[in-house]
Amino acid sequence: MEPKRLPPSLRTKSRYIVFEVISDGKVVFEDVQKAIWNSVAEWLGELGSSEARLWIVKNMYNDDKQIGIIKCSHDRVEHIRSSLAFVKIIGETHAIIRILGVSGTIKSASLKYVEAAKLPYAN
Amino acid sequence: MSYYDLHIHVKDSGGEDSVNDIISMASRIGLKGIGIVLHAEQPFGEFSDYKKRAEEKGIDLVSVALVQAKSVNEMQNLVSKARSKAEIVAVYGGDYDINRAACENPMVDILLHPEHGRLDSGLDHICVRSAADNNVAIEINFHELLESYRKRRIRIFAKMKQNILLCKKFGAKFLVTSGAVSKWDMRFGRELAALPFLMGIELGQSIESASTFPVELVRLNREKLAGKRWEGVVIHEDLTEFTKDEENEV
Repeated sequence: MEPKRLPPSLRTKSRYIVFEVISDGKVVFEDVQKAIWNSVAEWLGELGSSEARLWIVKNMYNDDKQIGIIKCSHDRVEHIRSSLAFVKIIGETHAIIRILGVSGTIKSASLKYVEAAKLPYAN
Repeated sequence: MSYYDLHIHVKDSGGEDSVNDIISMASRIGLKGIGIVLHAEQPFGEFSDYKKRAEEKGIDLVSVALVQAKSVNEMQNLVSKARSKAEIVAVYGGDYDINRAACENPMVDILLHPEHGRLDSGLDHICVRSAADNNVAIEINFHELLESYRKRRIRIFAKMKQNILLCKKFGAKFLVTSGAVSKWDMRFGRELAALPFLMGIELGQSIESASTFPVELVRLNREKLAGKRWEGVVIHEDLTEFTKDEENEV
């Protein structure tokens, strides 16, 4: 038997941060994930990272646009935002992580920011 | 909201990238204005060319004179020379005497990283009270944190936090900058604004430290340089036009 899903009033509130990777060359999801986890663990520490309840959504990462979604606790958005600023290198290329927006549901995050975004350097 | 980053180095001031690269990256990450730092002794003649290039990309380029002095007298001489040619005058902090003299000088706009290379935070209540009286802003330099690790980063953050909490208590202004030496050190203002929030400042005020405050500082200094603003006196262009029209009618 599995535990029952908690009622909405008892579930922890989440926010979805949409980010874009600005880099010299193309970066793959695994490298982005590793860089973000390292940066968050280094800046917030193990205790702070556990409180942030960080989750990098794999199937929402768009390879062409280099845009992805991070799920985190609603009261730790600024902590994650500052952690992402500390990412300097992803894989072997210089990179900057720029936050496009924060949303309350993954659906609106995807509609508002991922689908609306242009391809990198497209005019 | 317009975000400004008023501390970016280029090749001429010890940075790695050219002004064009910096302008392209600023446009890419969404900044509305950037402050290019040049040493106070350097000529600012080429700035008008840079400004035109930046305007084509929709970036407001601000000239920032960096005053790096070994003594208080040297600092004050350089500040008075730089005041008439640059839009922003920033003093390189670190030494306590220079930090204090900069806070007491109304010609200074920004005191850069007062905690640089020190075991303490570099500022006390006297300095911060003077900074509040003389409208000198205290800088939170992101590059100091970005280029340090573990114990060093922890100590720098703690010193910055102490300075910012003193600013909050005495009503002194502070601003967040990237302190970038290459285009890859640049960050969007909203990301930088998260730092004062983590130091105990309210979110609204944190965001203002990277947006409204630098925009207002640049606007006021431009008016002063153009001769439209002195201490206690402001010339409103609209008002002069109105009175001219009235005179014509009479």
